[in-house]
Amino acid sequence: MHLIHRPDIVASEITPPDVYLDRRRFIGQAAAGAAVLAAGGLLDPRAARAATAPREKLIGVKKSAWTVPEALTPYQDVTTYNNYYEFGTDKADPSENAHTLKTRPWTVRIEGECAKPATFAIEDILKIAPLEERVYRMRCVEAWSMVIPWVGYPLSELLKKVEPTGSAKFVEFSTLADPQTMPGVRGRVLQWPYVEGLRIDEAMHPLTLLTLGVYGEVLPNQNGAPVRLVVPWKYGFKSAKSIVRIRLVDKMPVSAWNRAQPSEYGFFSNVNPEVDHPRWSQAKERRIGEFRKRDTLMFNGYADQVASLYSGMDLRKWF
Amino acid sequence: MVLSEGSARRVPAVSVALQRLRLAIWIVCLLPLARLIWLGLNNGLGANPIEFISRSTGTWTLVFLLATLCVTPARQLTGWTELTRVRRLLGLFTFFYVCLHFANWIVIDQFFDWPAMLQDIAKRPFITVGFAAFLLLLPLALTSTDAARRHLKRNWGRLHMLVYAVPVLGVLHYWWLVKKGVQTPLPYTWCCWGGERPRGGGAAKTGFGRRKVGRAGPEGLPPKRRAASSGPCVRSYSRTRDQFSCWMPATNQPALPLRGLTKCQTSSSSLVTTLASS
Repeated sequence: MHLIHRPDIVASEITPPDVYLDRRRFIGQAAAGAAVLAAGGLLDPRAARAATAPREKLIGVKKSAWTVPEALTPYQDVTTYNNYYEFGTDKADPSENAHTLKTRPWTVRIEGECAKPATFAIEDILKIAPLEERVYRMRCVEAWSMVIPWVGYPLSELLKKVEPTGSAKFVEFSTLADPQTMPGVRGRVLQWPYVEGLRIDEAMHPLTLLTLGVYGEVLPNQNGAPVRLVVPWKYGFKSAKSIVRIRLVDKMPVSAWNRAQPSEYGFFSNVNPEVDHPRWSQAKERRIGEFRKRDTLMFNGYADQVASLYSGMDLRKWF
Repeated sequence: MVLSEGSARRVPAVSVALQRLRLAIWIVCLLPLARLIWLGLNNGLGANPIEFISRSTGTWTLVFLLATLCVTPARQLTGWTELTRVRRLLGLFTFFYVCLHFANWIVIDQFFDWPAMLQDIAKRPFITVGFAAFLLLLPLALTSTDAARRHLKRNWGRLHMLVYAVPVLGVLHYWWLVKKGVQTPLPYTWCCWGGERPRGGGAAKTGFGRRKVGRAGPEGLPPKRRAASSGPCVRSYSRTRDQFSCWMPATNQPALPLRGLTKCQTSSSSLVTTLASS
Protein backbone atom coordinates (compact mmCIF):
# COMPACT_ATOMS: atom_id res chain seq x y z
CA MET A 1 0.00 0.00 0.00
CA HIS A 2 1.30 3.40 -0.84
CA LEU A 3 1.60 5.67 2.14
CA ILE A 4 2.01 8.75 0.01
CA HIS A 5 -0.64 9.34 -2.58
CA ARG A 6 0.77 10.91 -5.72
CA PRO A 7 -1.83 13.12 -7.35
CA ASP A 8 -2.81 12.02 -10.83
CA ILE A 9 -2.78 15.56 -12.10
CA VAL A 10 0.10 17.89 -11.41
CA ALA A 11 -0.87 21.34 -10.23
CA SER A 12 0.41 23.05 -13.34
CA GLU A 13 -2.01 21.07 -15.49
CA ILE A 14 -5.14 22.06 -13.58
CA THR A 15 -7.16 24.57 -15.56
CA PRO A 16 -7.43 27.80 -13.58
CA PRO A 17 -11.01 28.77 -12.59
CA ASP A 18 -11.00 32.00 -14.56
CA VAL A 19 -10.37 29.98 -17.68
CA TYR A 20 -12.86 27.16 -17.17
CA LEU A 21 -15.56 29.51 -15.96
CA ASP A 22 -15.28 31.43 -19.20
CA ARG A 23 -16.81 28.56 -21.13
CA ARG A 24 -16.94 30.05 -24.58
CA ARG A 25 -13.36 31.21 -24.57
CA PHE A 26 -12.32 27.91 -23.08
CA ILE A 27 -13.92 25.98 -25.93
CA GLY A 28 -12.33 28.29 -28.44
CA GLN A 29 -8.93 27.87 -26.88
CA ALA A 30 -9.35 24.12 -26.67
CA ALA A 31 -10.21 23.98 -30.35
CA ALA A 32 -7.29 26.22 -31.19
CA GLY A 33 -5.07 24.08 -28.99
CA ALA A 34 -6.16 20.96 -30.82
CA ALA A 35 -5.47 22.64 -34.14
CA VAL A 36 -2.03 23.64 -32.92
CA LEU A 37 -1.26 20.09 -31.82
CA ALA A 38 -2.64 18.72 -35.06
CA ALA A 39 -0.45 20.97 -37.11
CA GLY A 40 2.58 20.03 -35.06
CA GLY A 41 3.12 23.55 -33.88
CA LEU A 42 3.16 24.88 -37.44
CA LEU A 43 0.18 27.07 -36.88
CA ASP A 44 1.39 28.82 -33.77
CA PRO A 45 5.12 28.60 -33.28
CA ARG A 46 5.02 30.52 -30.05
CA ALA A 47 2.22 28.63 -28.31
CA ALA A 48 3.85 25.32 -29.12
CA ARG A 49 6.99 26.23 -27.29
CA ALA A 50 5.54 28.05 -24.30
CA ALA A 51 8.38 28.15 -21.79
CA THR A 52 7.09 27.31 -18.33
CA ALA A 53 10.19 27.89 -16.24
CA PRO A 54 9.42 29.34 -12.82
CA ARG A 55 10.02 33.08 -12.53
CA GLU A 56 11.83 34.39 -9.50
CA LYS A 57 11.71 37.98 -8.35
CA LEU A 58 14.93 39.76 -7.36
CA ILE A 59 14.63 41.72 -4.11
CA GLY A 60 16.07 45.10 -3.22
CA VAL A 61 16.42 46.35 -6.80
CA LYS A 62 16.77 50.13 -7.09
CA LYS A 63 15.83 52.16 -10.13
CA SER A 64 18.85 53.66 -11.83
CA ALA A 65 19.34 56.97 -13.59
CA TRP A 66 20.60 54.97 -16.58
CA THR A 67 17.18 54.62 -18.13
CA VAL A 68 16.32 55.47 -21.72
CA PRO A 69 12.90 57.10 -22.05
CA GLU A 70 11.67 54.60 -24.64
CA ALA A 71 8.93 51.98 -24.58
CA LEU A 72 10.07 48.64 -23.15
CA THR A 73 10.15 45.62 -25.43
CA PRO A 74 7.59 43.16 -23.99
CA TYR A 75 8.89 40.39 -21.69
CA GLN A 76 7.54 37.78 -24.11
CA ASP A 77 9.70 39.11 -26.97
CA VAL A 78 12.78 39.63 -24.80
CA THR A 79 12.63 36.01 -23.67
CA THR A 80 11.63 34.22 -26.89
CA TYR A 81 13.64 36.05 -29.57
CA ASN A 82 17.23 35.31 -28.67
CA ASN A 83 20.60 34.62 -30.18
CA TYR A 84 22.27 32.06 -27.97
CA TYR A 85 23.95 29.62 -30.34
CA GLU A 86 24.84 27.14 -27.60
CA PHE A 87 21.13 26.30 -27.64
CA GLY A 88 20.58 26.51 -31.40
CA THR A 89 20.80 29.07 -34.16
CA ASP A 90 17.10 29.85 -34.55
CA LYS A 91 15.80 32.79 -32.53
CA ALA A 92 13.27 30.51 -30.86
CA ASP A 93 15.73 27.72 -30.05
CA PRO A 94 17.13 29.19 -26.80
CA SER A 95 13.72 29.58 -25.17
CA GLU A 96 12.85 26.02 -26.19
CA ASN A 97 16.14 24.35 -25.27
CA ALA A 98 17.72 26.35 -22.45
CA HIS A 99 15.66 24.70 -19.71
CA THR A 100 18.48 22.14 -19.47
CA LEU A 101 20.99 24.75 -18.29
CA LYS A 102 21.89 24.29 -14.61
CA THR A 103 22.57 27.65 -13.00
CA ARG A 104 23.25 26.34 -9.46
CA PRO A 105 25.91 25.68 -8.31
CA TRP A 106 27.72 28.29 -10.41
CA THR A 107 31.08 29.93 -9.98
CA VAL A 108 32.99 32.59 -11.87
CA ARG A 109 36.76 32.35 -11.83
CA ILE A 110 38.62 35.66 -12.16
CA GLU A 111 42.33 35.39 -12.83
CA GLY A 112 45.25 36.72 -14.84
CA GLU A 113 46.84 40.13 -14.38
CA CYS A 114 45.48 40.85 -10.91
CA ALA A 115 46.68 40.85 -7.33
CA LYS A 116 43.92 38.66 -5.88
CA PRO A 117 42.65 36.07 -8.33
CA ALA A 118 39.53 34.41 -6.93
CA THR A 119 36.59 32.16 -7.61
CA PHE A 120 33.23 33.69 -6.78
CA ALA A 121 30.08 31.72 -6.12
CA ILE A 122 27.00 33.15 -7.82
CA GLU A 123 25.41 33.74 -4.38
CA ASP A 124 28.32 36.03 -3.50
CA ILE A 125 28.29 37.80 -6.85
CA LEU A 126 24.68 38.74 -6.18
CA LYS A 127 25.78 40.57 -3.01
CA ILE A 128 28.92 42.42 -4.16
CA ALA A 129 27.07 45.64 -4.99
CA PRO A 130 23.45 46.82 -4.76
CA LEU A 131 21.32 45.63 -7.67
CA GLU A 132 19.94 48.34 -9.89
CA GLU A 133 17.52 48.33 -12.79
CA ARG A 134 18.81 49.95 -15.97
CA VAL A 135 16.76 50.36 -19.11
CA TYR A 136 19.19 49.99 -22.00
CA ARG A 137 18.83 49.86 -25.75
CA MET A 138 20.05 46.57 -27.19
CA ARG A 139 21.15 46.67 -30.82
CA CYS A 140 21.82 43.35 -32.52
CA VAL A 141 24.35 43.18 -35.35
CA GLU A 142 21.49 41.73 -37.41
CA ALA A 143 19.84 45.19 -37.49
CA TRP A 144 17.08 44.73 -34.94
CA SER A 145 16.85 46.26 -31.51
CA MET A 146 15.04 46.12 -28.19
CA VAL A 147 14.71 48.21 -25.03
CA ILE A 148 15.33 46.02 -22.01
CA PRO A 149 15.19 46.63 -18.24
CA TRP A 150 18.26 44.76 -17.03
CA VAL A 151 19.12 44.22 -13.37
CA GLY A 152 22.72 44.19 -12.21
CA TYR A 153 25.60 46.43 -11.19
CA PRO A 154 28.70 47.80 -12.92
CA LEU A 155 31.24 45.14 -13.87
CA SER A 156 33.93 47.38 -12.36
CA GLU A 157 32.57 46.55 -8.87
CA LEU A 158 33.43 42.90 -9.41
CA LEU A 159 36.77 43.54 -11.13
CA LYS A 160 37.93 45.83 -8.31
CA LYS A 161 37.66 42.87 -5.92
CA VAL A 162 40.60 41.13 -7.63
CA GLU A 163 42.70 44.30 -7.93
CA PRO A 164 43.78 44.36 -11.59
CA THR A 165 47.46 45.21 -12.10
CA GLY A 166 48.89 47.77 -14.48
CA SER A 167 49.48 45.17 -17.18
CA ALA A 168 45.78 44.26 -17.33
CA LYS A 169 45.00 45.92 -20.67
CA PHE A 170 42.10 43.72 -21.75
CA VAL A 171 39.45 41.52 -20.18
CA GLU A 172 38.52 38.16 -21.67
CA PHE A 173 35.17 36.52 -20.87
CA SER A 174 34.65 32.79 -21.34
CA THR A 175 31.19 31.33 -21.18
CA LEU A 176 29.84 27.89 -20.38
CA ALA A 177 30.25 25.23 -23.07
CA ASP A 178 28.63 22.06 -21.80
CA PRO A 179 27.77 19.56 -24.53
CA GLN A 180 25.56 17.66 -22.07
CA THR A 181 23.13 20.52 -21.60
CA MET A 182 23.79 22.68 -24.66
CA PRO A 183 22.79 21.05 -27.96
CA GLY A 184 24.49 23.76 -30.02
CA VAL A 185 27.89 23.01 -28.47
CA ARG A 186 27.76 19.53 -30.01
CA GLY A 187 27.84 21.22 -33.43
CA ARG A 188 30.62 23.33 -34.88
CA VAL A 189 28.79 26.55 -35.50
CA LEU A 190 31.44 28.49 -33.61
CA GLN A 191 34.55 27.48 -31.74
CA TRP A 192 33.48 26.74 -28.18
CA PRO A 193 33.59 28.04 -25.55
CA TYR A 194 32.21 31.38 -26.68
CA VAL A 195 34.80 34.01 -25.84
CA GLU A 196 34.34 37.76 -25.76
CA GLY A 197 36.61 40.60 -24.80
CA LEU A 198 36.71 44.24 -23.80
CA ARG A 199 39.49 46.75 -23.39
CA ILE A 200 40.06 47.42 -19.68
CA ASP A 201 38.66 50.97 -19.89
CA GLU A 202 35.53 49.61 -21.60
CA ALA A 203 35.19 46.95 -18.92
CA MET A 204 35.57 49.53 -16.12
CA HIS A 205 33.12 51.97 -17.74
CA PRO A 206 30.10 52.66 -15.51
CA LEU A 207 27.71 51.67 -18.33
CA THR A 208 29.14 48.14 -18.58
CA LEU A 209 26.72 46.08 -16.56
CA LEU A 210 27.28 42.75 -14.87
CA THR A 211 23.75 41.49 -15.34
CA LEU A 212 21.88 39.10 -13.10
CA GLY A 213 18.26 39.80 -13.94
CA VAL A 214 15.74 41.26 -16.35
CA TYR A 215 12.30 42.74 -15.73
CA GLY A 216 12.99 42.65 -11.97
CA GLU A 217 13.44 38.88 -12.03
CA VAL A 218 16.28 36.38 -12.14
CA LEU A 219 17.60 36.03 -15.71
CA PRO A 220 15.78 33.34 -17.68
CA ASN A 221 18.23 30.72 -18.97
CA GLN A 222 17.80 31.78 -22.59
CA ASN A 223 18.91 35.31 -21.70
CA GLY A 224 22.24 34.14 -20.31
CA ALA A 225 21.56 33.02 -16.74
CA PRO A 226 22.89 33.19 -14.14
CA VAL A 227 25.32 36.02 -14.95
CA ARG A 228 26.03 37.85 -18.17
CA LEU A 229 27.47 41.04 -19.52
CA VAL A 230 25.55 43.93 -21.04
CA VAL A 231 27.57 46.49 -22.99
CA PRO A 232 24.87 48.75 -24.42
CA TRP A 233 26.95 50.70 -26.95
CA LYS A 234 28.22 47.56 -28.67
CA TYR A 235 26.41 45.01 -30.84
CA GLY A 236 24.57 42.42 -28.80
CA PHE A 237 27.00 39.57 -29.39
CA LYS A 238 29.64 41.42 -27.31
CA SER A 239 27.47 40.90 -24.23
CA ALA A 240 28.58 37.40 -23.31
CA LYS A 241 26.07 35.12 -21.61
CA SER A 242 26.45 32.55 -18.79
CA ILE A 243 29.98 33.65 -17.88
CA VAL A 244 32.22 31.13 -16.09
CA ARG A 245 35.65 32.75 -16.35
CA ILE A 246 37.08 36.25 -16.58
CA ARG A 247 40.74 36.76 -17.39
CA LEU A 248 42.64 40.01 -17.15
CA VAL A 249 45.20 39.93 -19.95
CA ASP A 250 47.79 42.16 -21.57
CA LYS A 251 46.94 41.24 -25.19
CA MET A 252 43.77 41.77 -27.16
CA PRO A 253 41.71 38.56 -26.83
CA VAL A 254 40.36 36.84 -29.94
CA SER A 255 36.59 36.75 -29.62
CA ALA A 256 34.49 33.88 -30.96
CA TRP A 257 32.91 35.85 -33.80
CA ASN A 258 36.19 37.54 -34.68
CA ARG A 259 37.80 34.12 -34.97
CA ALA A 260 34.94 32.76 -37.06
CA GLN A 261 34.62 35.65 -39.52
CA PRO A 262 37.31 38.31 -39.05
CA SER A 263 36.15 40.30 -42.07
CA GLU A 264 32.67 40.73 -40.61
CA TYR A 265 33.18 40.97 -36.84
CA GLY A 266 35.96 43.04 -35.34
CA PHE A 267 37.08 43.23 -31.73
CA PHE A 268 35.37 46.49 -30.88
CA SER A 269 32.01 45.99 -32.61
CA ASN A 270 30.72 49.37 -31.48
CA VAL A 271 27.27 50.22 -32.82
CA ASN A 272 28.04 52.52 -35.73
CA PRO A 273 25.50 53.49 -38.41
CA GLU A 274 28.31 54.63 -40.69
CA VAL A 275 30.23 51.38 -40.82
CA ASP A 276 28.21 48.69 -42.55
CA HIS A 277 28.39 44.99 -42.01
CA PRO A 278 29.94 43.65 -45.25
CA ARG A 279 26.63 42.02 -46.17
CA TRP A 280 24.07 44.52 -44.92
CA SER A 281 23.65 48.13 -43.89
CA GLN A 282 23.84 49.18 -40.24
CA ALA A 283 22.31 52.61 -40.85
CA LYS A 284 18.85 51.57 -39.72
CA GLU A 285 17.34 49.05 -37.38
CA ARG A 286 13.99 47.49 -36.71
CA ARG A 287 12.89 48.01 -33.12
CA ILE A 288 11.03 44.85 -32.18
CA GLY A 289 7.34 45.72 -32.05
CA GLU A 290 7.61 48.66 -34.45
CA PHE A 291 6.58 48.79 -38.09
CA ARG A 292 8.89 51.39 -39.61
CA LYS A 293 12.65 51.13 -39.37
CA ARG A 294 14.39 53.72 -37.24
CA ASP A 295 17.81 55.28 -37.64
CA THR A 296 20.60 53.59 -35.72
CA LEU A 297 22.35 55.99 -33.37
CA MET A 298 26.11 56.36 -33.02
CA PHE A 299 27.26 54.13 -30.16
CA ASN A 300 23.61 53.09 -29.90
CA GLY A 301 22.75 56.51 -28.44
CA TYR A 302 25.47 56.37 -25.76
CA ALA A 303 27.95 58.61 -27.62
CA ASP A 304 27.98 61.22 -24.83
CA GLN A 305 29.16 58.60 -22.37
CA VAL A 306 31.57 56.51 -24.45
CA ALA A 307 32.76 58.42 -27.55
CA SER A 308 35.76 59.72 -25.61
CA LEU A 309 37.02 56.14 -25.20
CA TYR A 310 37.70 56.05 -28.92
CA SER A 311 38.90 59.57 -29.64
CA GLY A 312 41.56 59.56 -32.32
CA MET A 313 40.70 56.03 -33.46
CA ASP A 314 39.67 55.26 -37.04
CA LEU A 315 36.39 53.45 -36.38
CA ARG A 316 36.31 52.06 -39.92
CA LYS A 317 39.55 50.27 -39.25
CA TRP A 318 38.73 49.33 -35.66
CA PHE A 319 35.20 48.12 -36.39
CA MET B 1 -14.03 26.72 -66.67
CA VAL B 2 -15.80 25.98 -69.92
CA LEU B 3 -13.46 25.47 -72.79
CA SER B 4 -14.46 26.61 -76.22
CA GLU B 5 -14.54 23.95 -78.87
CA GLY B 6 -11.39 25.25 -80.49
CA SER B 7 -9.26 25.13 -77.38
CA ALA B 8 -10.78 21.82 -76.36
CA ARG B 9 -9.44 20.35 -79.56
CA ARG B 10 -5.95 21.65 -78.93
CA VAL B 11 -5.70 20.64 -75.28
CA PRO B 12 -6.35 16.96 -74.83
CA ALA B 13 -8.74 15.88 -72.13
CA VAL B 14 -7.27 15.65 -68.66
CA SER B 15 -7.47 12.40 -66.71
CA VAL B 16 -9.28 12.22 -63.40
CA ALA B 17 -6.02 11.44 -61.63
CA LEU B 18 -4.43 14.58 -63.02
CA GLN B 19 -7.46 16.67 -62.08
CA ARG B 20 -7.13 15.41 -58.53
CA LEU B 21 -3.41 16.12 -58.52
CA ARG B 22 -4.05 19.66 -59.71
CA LEU B 23 -6.62 20.20 -56.99
CA ALA B 24 -4.16 18.85 -54.41
CA ILE B 25 -1.47 21.23 -55.71
CA TRP B 26 -3.85 24.18 -55.44
CA ILE B 27 -4.63 23.28 -51.84
CA VAL B 28 -1.05 22.55 -50.82
CA CYS B 29 0.28 25.67 -52.50
CA LEU B 30 -2.25 27.93 -50.82
CA LEU B 31 -1.68 26.48 -47.35
CA PRO B 32 1.49 28.48 -46.56
CA LEU B 33 -0.33 31.70 -47.36
CA ALA B 34 -3.34 30.63 -45.33
CA ARG B 35 -1.03 29.82 -42.44
CA LEU B 36 0.62 33.22 -42.61
CA ILE B 37 -2.75 34.94 -42.58
CA TRP B 38 -3.93 32.78 -39.69
CA LEU B 39 -0.76 33.52 -37.71
CA GLY B 40 -1.00 37.20 -38.54
CA LEU B 41 -4.56 37.38 -37.20
CA ASN B 42 -3.66 35.43 -34.08
CA ASN B 43 -0.51 37.26 -33.03
CA GLY B 44 1.53 34.21 -33.94
CA LEU B 45 4.25 35.73 -36.10
CA GLY B 46 6.67 36.08 -33.19
CA ALA B 47 8.72 39.04 -32.04
CA ASN B 48 9.79 40.04 -35.55
CA PRO B 49 6.77 39.46 -37.80
CA ILE B 50 8.29 41.18 -40.83
CA GLU B 51 11.29 38.89 -40.77
CA PHE B 52 8.96 35.93 -40.26
CA ILE B 53 6.90 36.81 -43.36
CA SER B 54 10.05 37.39 -45.35
CA ARG B 55 11.62 34.07 -44.34
CA SER B 56 8.38 32.18 -44.79
CA THR B 57 7.55 33.46 -48.27
CA GLY B 58 11.18 33.07 -49.32
CA THR B 59 11.29 29.50 -48.08
CA TRP B 60 8.08 28.54 -49.87
CA THR B 61 9.30 30.16 -53.07
CA LEU B 62 12.33 27.88 -52.95
CA VAL B 63 10.21 24.84 -52.12
CA PHE B 64 7.80 25.38 -55.01
CA LEU B 65 10.62 26.25 -57.37
CA LEU B 66 12.38 23.00 -56.57
CA ALA B 67 9.07 21.13 -56.81
CA THR B 68 8.64 22.62 -60.28
CA LEU B 69 12.04 21.36 -61.31
CA CYS B 70 11.26 17.94 -59.87
CA VAL B 71 8.33 17.39 -62.23
CA THR B 72 10.43 15.98 -65.04
CA PRO B 73 12.48 13.58 -62.88
CA ALA B 74 9.21 12.47 -61.28
CA ARG B 75 7.69 11.87 -64.68
CA GLN B 76 10.69 9.86 -65.74
CA LEU B 77 10.60 7.81 -62.56
CA THR B 78 6.90 7.10 -62.68
CA GLY B 79 6.45 7.00 -66.41
CA TRP B 80 3.34 9.14 -65.98
CA THR B 81 3.80 11.46 -68.95
CA GLU B 82 0.78 13.57 -68.10
CA LEU B 83 2.61 14.78 -65.00
CA THR B 84 4.31 17.45 -67.10
CA ARG B 85 1.01 19.27 -67.23
CA VAL B 86 1.21 20.38 -63.58
CA ARG B 87 4.48 22.18 -64.18
CA ARG B 88 3.00 25.49 -65.21
CA LEU B 89 0.76 25.47 -62.15
CA LEU B 90 3.73 24.87 -59.84
CA GLY B 91 5.83 27.42 -61.71
CA LEU B 92 3.16 30.06 -61.35
CA PHE B 93 2.75 29.34 -57.64
CA THR B 94 6.51 29.83 -57.33
CA PHE B 95 6.08 33.19 -58.98
CA PHE B 96 3.15 33.98 -56.69
CA TYR B 97 5.27 33.39 -53.58
CA VAL B 98 8.27 35.29 -54.94
CA CYS B 99 5.92 38.21 -55.57
CA LEU B 100 4.72 38.05 -51.95
CA HIS B 101 8.35 37.88 -50.83
CA PHE B 102 9.28 40.88 -52.98
CA ALA B 103 6.19 42.86 -52.02
CA ASN B 104 6.89 42.21 -48.34
CA TRP B 105 10.36 43.67 -48.84
CA ILE B 106 9.15 46.75 -50.71
CA VAL B 107 6.03 47.54 -48.70
CA ILE B 108 6.46 46.20 -45.18
CA ASP B 109 10.20 45.91 -44.71
CA GLN B 110 11.49 48.99 -46.53
CA PHE B 111 8.21 50.92 -46.71
CA PHE B 112 8.84 52.31 -50.22
CA ASP B 113 12.26 53.68 -49.30
CA TRP B 114 13.36 53.58 -52.95
CA PRO B 115 16.87 55.05 -52.53
CA ALA B 116 17.65 52.55 -49.76
CA MET B 117 16.29 49.67 -51.85
CA LEU B 118 18.26 50.62 -54.96
CA GLN B 119 21.38 50.96 -52.87
CA ASP B 120 20.77 47.54 -51.33
CA ILE B 121 20.33 45.95 -54.75
CA ALA B 122 23.60 47.46 -55.91
CA LYS B 123 25.63 46.97 -52.74
CA ARG B 124 24.37 43.89 -50.95
CA PRO B 125 25.27 40.69 -52.77
CA PHE B 126 22.45 38.69 -51.20
CA ILE B 127 19.90 41.24 -52.34
CA THR B 128 21.57 41.48 -55.74
CA VAL B 129 21.21 37.77 -56.39
CA GLY B 130 17.71 37.67 -54.96
CA PHE B 131 16.65 40.49 -57.23
CA ALA B 132 18.38 38.84 -60.20
CA ALA B 133 16.43 35.65 -59.50
CA PHE B 134 13.19 37.62 -59.42
CA LEU B 135 14.05 39.33 -62.72
CA LEU B 136 14.72 35.95 -64.30
CA LEU B 137 11.37 34.58 -63.16
CA LEU B 138 9.48 37.56 -64.50
CA PRO B 139 9.69 36.78 -68.25
CA LEU B 140 8.96 33.13 -67.54
CA ALA B 141 5.73 33.98 -65.77
CA LEU B 142 4.76 36.53 -68.40
CA THR B 143 5.24 34.03 -71.23
CA SER B 144 3.56 31.15 -69.45
CA THR B 145 0.37 31.33 -71.49
CA ASP B 146 -0.37 29.00 -74.39
CA ALA B 147 -0.57 32.02 -76.70
CA ALA B 148 2.89 33.25 -75.75
CA ARG B 149 4.25 29.80 -76.25
CA ARG B 150 2.77 29.55 -79.72
CA HIS B 151 3.95 33.01 -80.57
CA LEU B 152 7.55 32.49 -79.43
CA LYS B 153 7.86 29.08 -81.08
CA ARG B 154 11.33 27.62 -80.49
CA ASN B 155 12.53 30.69 -78.65
CA TRP B 156 10.04 29.91 -75.92
CA GLY B 157 12.06 26.86 -74.94
CA ARG B 158 15.28 28.82 -75.05
CA LEU B 159 13.82 31.55 -72.91
CA HIS B 160 12.57 29.07 -70.38
CA MET B 161 16.02 27.59 -69.93
CA LEU B 162 16.46 30.58 -67.60
CA VAL B 163 14.65 28.66 -64.92
CA TYR B 164 17.82 26.69 -64.23
CA ALA B 165 19.65 29.76 -62.99
CA VAL B 166 16.92 30.66 -60.53
CA PRO B 167 17.36 28.00 -57.84
CA VAL B 168 21.11 28.59 -57.87
CA LEU B 169 20.57 32.28 -57.29
CA GLY B 170 17.84 31.54 -54.76
CA VAL B 171 20.01 29.23 -52.70
CA LEU B 172 22.93 31.65 -52.89
CA HIS B 173 20.60 34.44 -51.77
CA TYR B 174 19.75 32.32 -48.73
CA TRP B 175 23.36 31.43 -47.81
CA TRP B 176 24.53 35.02 -48.01
CA LEU B 177 21.69 36.17 -45.85
CA VAL B 178 22.28 33.94 -42.84
CA LYS B 179 25.02 34.33 -40.28
CA LYS B 180 27.93 31.96 -40.31
CA GLY B 181 27.16 28.54 -38.92
CA VAL B 182 23.46 28.69 -39.69
CA GLN B 183 22.73 25.64 -41.83
CA THR B 184 19.09 26.27 -42.76
CA PRO B 185 19.83 26.71 -46.50
CA LEU B 186 21.51 23.30 -46.64
CA PRO B 187 18.48 21.14 -47.57
CA TYR B 188 17.65 23.49 -50.44
CA THR B 189 21.22 23.31 -51.65
CA TRP B 190 20.95 19.53 -51.75
CA CYS B 191 17.61 19.66 -53.53
CA CYS B 192 19.02 22.17 -55.98
CA TRP B 193 21.92 19.85 -56.62
CA GLY B 194 19.60 16.90 -57.04
CA GLY B 195 17.02 18.74 -59.10
CA GLU B 196 19.50 20.17 -61.57
CA ARG B 197 21.53 17.08 -62.29
CA PRO B 198 21.75 16.21 -65.96
CA ARG B 199 18.74 14.43 -67.26
CA GLY B 200 16.64 13.99 -70.31
CA GLY B 201 14.93 16.64 -72.34
CA GLY B 202 15.95 20.11 -73.37
CA ALA B 203 13.97 23.25 -73.06
CA ALA B 204 10.78 21.36 -72.40
CA LYS B 205 11.74 20.74 -68.79
CA THR B 206 11.15 24.27 -67.67
CA GLY B 207 8.43 24.94 -65.23
CA PHE B 208 6.36 27.54 -66.91
CA GLY B 209 4.67 25.89 -69.80
CA ARG B 210 2.51 22.94 -70.65
CA ARG B 211 3.71 20.39 -73.13
CA LYS B 212 1.17 19.20 -75.54
CA VAL B 213 0.85 15.48 -75.58
CA GLY B 214 1.83 13.82 -78.80
CA ARG B 215 3.83 16.71 -80.13
CA ALA B 216 7.29 16.11 -81.40
CA GLY B 217 9.92 17.41 -79.06
CA PRO B 218 12.66 16.33 -76.74
CA GLU B 219 10.20 14.59 -74.45
CA GLY B 220 9.03 12.46 -77.29
CA LEU B 221 12.53 11.25 -77.99
CA PRO B 222 13.38 7.64 -77.40
CA PRO B 223 14.96 7.03 -73.98
CA LYS B 224 18.52 6.62 -75.26
CA ARG B 225 18.70 10.00 -76.91
CA ARG B 226 16.88 11.56 -74.04
CA ALA B 227 19.58 10.40 -71.66
CA ALA B 228 22.29 11.68 -73.94
CA SER B 229 21.06 15.24 -74.04
CA SER B 230 21.11 17.03 -70.77
CA GLY B 231 20.44 20.35 -69.16
CA PRO B 232 22.85 22.59 -67.33
CA CYS B 233 24.15 21.21 -64.14
CA VAL B 234 24.94 22.90 -60.90
CA ARG B 235 27.07 20.70 -58.80
CA SER B 236 27.85 22.18 -55.45
CA TYR B 237 28.64 25.29 -53.54
CA SER B 238 31.46 25.28 -51.04
CA ARG B 239 31.02 27.88 -48.37
CA THR B 240 34.50 27.41 -47.02
CA ARG B 241 35.99 28.29 -50.37
CA ASP B 242 33.23 30.69 -51.40
CA GLN B 243 33.10 28.77 -54.60
CA PHE B 244 30.67 26.69 -56.47
CA SER B 245 31.14 24.60 -59.49
CA CYS B 246 28.68 24.31 -62.28
CA TRP B 247 28.98 23.00 -65.74
CA MET B 248 26.95 22.78 -68.86
CA PRO B 249 27.64 19.58 -70.72
CA ALA B 250 28.18 20.22 -74.40
CA THR B 251 25.36 18.34 -76.03
CA ASN B 252 23.24 18.23 -79.10
CA GLN B 253 20.98 20.94 -77.73
CA PRO B 254 19.98 23.95 -79.75
CA ALA B 255 22.37 26.84 -79.54
CA LEU B 256 22.03 28.55 -76.19
CA PRO B 257 23.58 31.68 -74.86
CA LEU B 258 25.29 29.65 -72.14
CA ARG B 259 26.57 26.96 -74.44
CA GLY B 260 30.14 28.15 -74.37
CA LEU B 261 30.28 27.29 -70.70
CA THR B 262 31.21 23.67 -70.98
CA LYS B 263 32.68 23.80 -67.57
CA CYS B 264 33.20 26.68 -65.32
CA GLN B 265 34.52 26.80 -61.86
CA THR B 266 34.07 30.23 -60.62
CA SER B 267 34.14 32.17 -57.45
CA SER B 268 30.57 32.94 -56.57
CA SER B 269 31.19 36.66 -56.34
CA SER B 270 32.49 36.85 -59.88
CA LEU B 271 29.50 34.84 -61.05
CA VAL B 272 27.22 37.36 -59.45
CA THR B 273 29.05 40.21 -61.09
CA THR B 274 28.62 38.50 -64.43
CA LEU B 275 24.94 37.89 -63.84
CA ALA B 276 24.32 41.37 -62.55
CA SER B 277 25.97 43.02 -65.50
CA SER B 278 24.42 40.81 -68.14
